[in-house]
Amino acid sequence: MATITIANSVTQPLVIEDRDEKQLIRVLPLQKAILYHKNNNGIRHTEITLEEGANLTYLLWQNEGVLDVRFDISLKQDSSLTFYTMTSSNKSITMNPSIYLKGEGASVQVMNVFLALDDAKVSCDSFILHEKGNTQSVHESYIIALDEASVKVNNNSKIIKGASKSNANQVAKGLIIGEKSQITADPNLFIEEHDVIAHHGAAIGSLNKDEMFYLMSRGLSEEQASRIIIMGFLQPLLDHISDEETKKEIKEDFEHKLK
Amino acid sequence: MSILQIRNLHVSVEGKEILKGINLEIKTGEFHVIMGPNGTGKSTLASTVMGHYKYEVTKGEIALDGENVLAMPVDERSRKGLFLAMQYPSEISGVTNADFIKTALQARLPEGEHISLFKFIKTLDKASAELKMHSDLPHRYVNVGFSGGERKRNEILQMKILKPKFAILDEIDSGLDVDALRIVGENVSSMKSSDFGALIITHYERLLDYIDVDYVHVMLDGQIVKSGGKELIAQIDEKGYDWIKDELGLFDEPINVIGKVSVGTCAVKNMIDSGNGTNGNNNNR
Repeated sequence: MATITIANSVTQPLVIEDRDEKQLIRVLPLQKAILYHKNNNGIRHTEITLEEGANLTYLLWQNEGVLDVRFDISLKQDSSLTFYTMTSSNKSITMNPSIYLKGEGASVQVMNVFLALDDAKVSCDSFILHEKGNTQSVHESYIIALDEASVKVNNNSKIIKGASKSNANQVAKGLIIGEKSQITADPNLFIEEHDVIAHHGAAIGSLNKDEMFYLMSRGLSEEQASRIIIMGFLQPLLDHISDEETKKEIKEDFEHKLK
Repeated sequence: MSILQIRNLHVSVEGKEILKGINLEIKTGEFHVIMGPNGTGKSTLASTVMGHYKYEVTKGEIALDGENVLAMPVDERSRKGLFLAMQYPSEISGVTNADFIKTALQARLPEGEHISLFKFIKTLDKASAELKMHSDLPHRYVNVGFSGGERKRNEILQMKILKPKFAILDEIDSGLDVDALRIVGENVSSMKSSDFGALIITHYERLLDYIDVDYVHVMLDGQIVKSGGKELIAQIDEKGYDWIKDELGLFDEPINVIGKVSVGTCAVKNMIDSGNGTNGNNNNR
């Protein structure tokens, strides 16, 4: 078992090395870190603990190979997590993140971006549990399914009784590009407390014909027009990544795969 | 010189015939205007020339320098020199205006050739300044959050940069205030050359105060019913379109009433007349 402990805040992203064992990450009280993991080919289970007031940004980018990973993440009082995953592999992707908001004032922002190619099968089952009051969660899924790829996202957020003044948000947006591609989104809210705010929604469709006509009427081929619309869909998501080099690398990978 | 020819064009939308035999010939160096009341098929003509997916050509032909336009996909029509300034241009989220226009310019170059970024920025800045557009425009997403006037100017901006042989301006004056109308009009006028011709579609003569047009066509019920010179604009402004209908002996189609009209009976009146009244407590009276 490999353990990473953040005892002092670091401003530069720390790169997670690939290894074939369980991984434990702990961010000590009030410390701050950015962790970046490119192509996880061995870690099947990661446990993350954010102590009181800790702040973590975790970015997993998978652009090749099979991914099969489980996350168990606990957030203590006033800690905050930004959890981004971006995948563009044409192999099977399975992700099961479970996030427990255990302390008052804890907050999590999850953004999953799936670019599914060829006959890739993508499956993401996530669970966010609000155990205490004043906890916040935002879960966004953005999916592009090309060729014969199929993507299933099953997002679950639960606010237990007593976790008042909590806020749970879910958004799922999907673009079906390939004639044989499929997207299934299942956004679920389980709310046991009255004094909360919760939203969920899913919007899945194909490329807008009028937008395609507009771009093509300016001379862009069908492929160029669809690529520009897809990159337009992805750009605001990439803008969340603060590290310019990583952002550029991911953008170029997406552009390359859409050619 | 280039020539755009439309011959006996019939177009349907969802099975309904909108254009009923349009004939029109435009050469570069000429500005034509099509006027006509709402719903006569002006915008259908504009969109059909560009190849919009909704419109089905049932008869006739469109040729650009002798080449069959109807056989070309939309993007090829554009690259061959056709341009449509749209009445309702789409929003493209996440794509900046500068990137979009650069990609459109690049699409016109042979494979392997690239536009110089420096030259492109200079061209974009110059064209934006001529249209008095806001300086943040290149960095904003295409048409997202643009006002009606900004969208129309953005269409003209693209036209100026892409330099088509023929532009169709579909009600480019709608939503423009007086100053914007003048700016757009002057910019369109300044493009007139032996390499550029335009087909301007409008309801109003106002835009034409700033654009010197050569030919005026009046469209009614899917057909061009009258063609002439500038003098037609003043006549339409003064008298509307009815005199043309009278002159040509055209009448609005009467509404067909099928079968007899039933006036119906009034249920409340029947109740009162039969002594039941309208109040439920009156049963014992």
